[in-house]
Amino acid sequence: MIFLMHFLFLVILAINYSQNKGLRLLNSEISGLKTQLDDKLHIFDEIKLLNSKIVVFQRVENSVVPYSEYLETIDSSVFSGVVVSNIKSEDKKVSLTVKSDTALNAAKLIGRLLEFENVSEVILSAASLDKSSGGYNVSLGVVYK
Amino acid sequence: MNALDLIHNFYVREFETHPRKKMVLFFVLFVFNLILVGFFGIIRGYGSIREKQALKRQYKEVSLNLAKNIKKADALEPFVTDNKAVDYVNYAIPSEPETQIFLEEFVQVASKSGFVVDSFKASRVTGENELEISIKLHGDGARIVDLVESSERMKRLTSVSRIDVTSSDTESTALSGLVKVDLVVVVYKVEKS
Repeated sequence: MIFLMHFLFLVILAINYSQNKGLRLLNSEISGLKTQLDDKLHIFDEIKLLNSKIVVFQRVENSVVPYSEYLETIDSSVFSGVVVSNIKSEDKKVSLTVKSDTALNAAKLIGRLLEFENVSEVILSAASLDKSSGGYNVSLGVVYK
Repeated sequence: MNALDLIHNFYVREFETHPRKKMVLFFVLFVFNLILVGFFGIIRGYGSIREKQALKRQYKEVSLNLAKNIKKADALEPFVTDNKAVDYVNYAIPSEPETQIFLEEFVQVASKSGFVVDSFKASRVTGENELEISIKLHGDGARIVDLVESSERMKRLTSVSRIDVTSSDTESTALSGLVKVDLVVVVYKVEKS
């Protein structure tokens, strides 16, 4: 029995030794792979950064207010009887200061603006008659959808 | 007389002549052997083998994951190097504010639309990734739509935040003649974390 125990002990020692050797080999393999991966970590960082940029890009593309389209509607609505002297934007609202020959022309401008699909409403903020020139000064707020 | 002889003499004197004492001695030695080789040798050794096997499995898993990630990085590398789409995104949204590059591009865009930049001010950071820039310009009011459209279509991602167009003199209107424009745009950046 004693002999068997010692034999078993020797076998266990041998297995332990081979396991240690295997572990050392695996350890060196892992450190080699880790060094390789460390050299390539910048790729993952760049992909992550790129992904964040694409997210921002999509967010901006979806939320941007198309002022050129707004100005286009105003530019297309203006006709010879009205003069836009000031344009001021604030989010989805564009305020206009308009000089009009007649009250009818001012009303016509409002009508033309409302015909655009992207115009939600036109607010008549102020209107006054310039008695010296006989023209009308109108302040409009064009609210877009 | 050396030490071995002394031990041998002691054994013969104390145990060889007393069978009961000899049996006790052998029993004690047997138990001692059982504890030393059996418990500290075999049982602990077997436990250690099992622990090492588990560690080996973990190591193999780690090694496999590392190899997989290296493969993934190799596959991704062509996408981040020499890729025009990536260059486009990096130009549109740089990692630094790069306002001077924006200004260079904007001056060209404004010039093509018939406007001259009078002043330029990177006013404030409005969000984590946003930088607001105020620009004063003057130029042909008839091309104001062109200016805004070109600003919105710049290679650097730009969104117009506010615009104020005023006629410069009595002969011009906001949409014709010489106008002054106060333009506020937002440009974007995403910093490396």
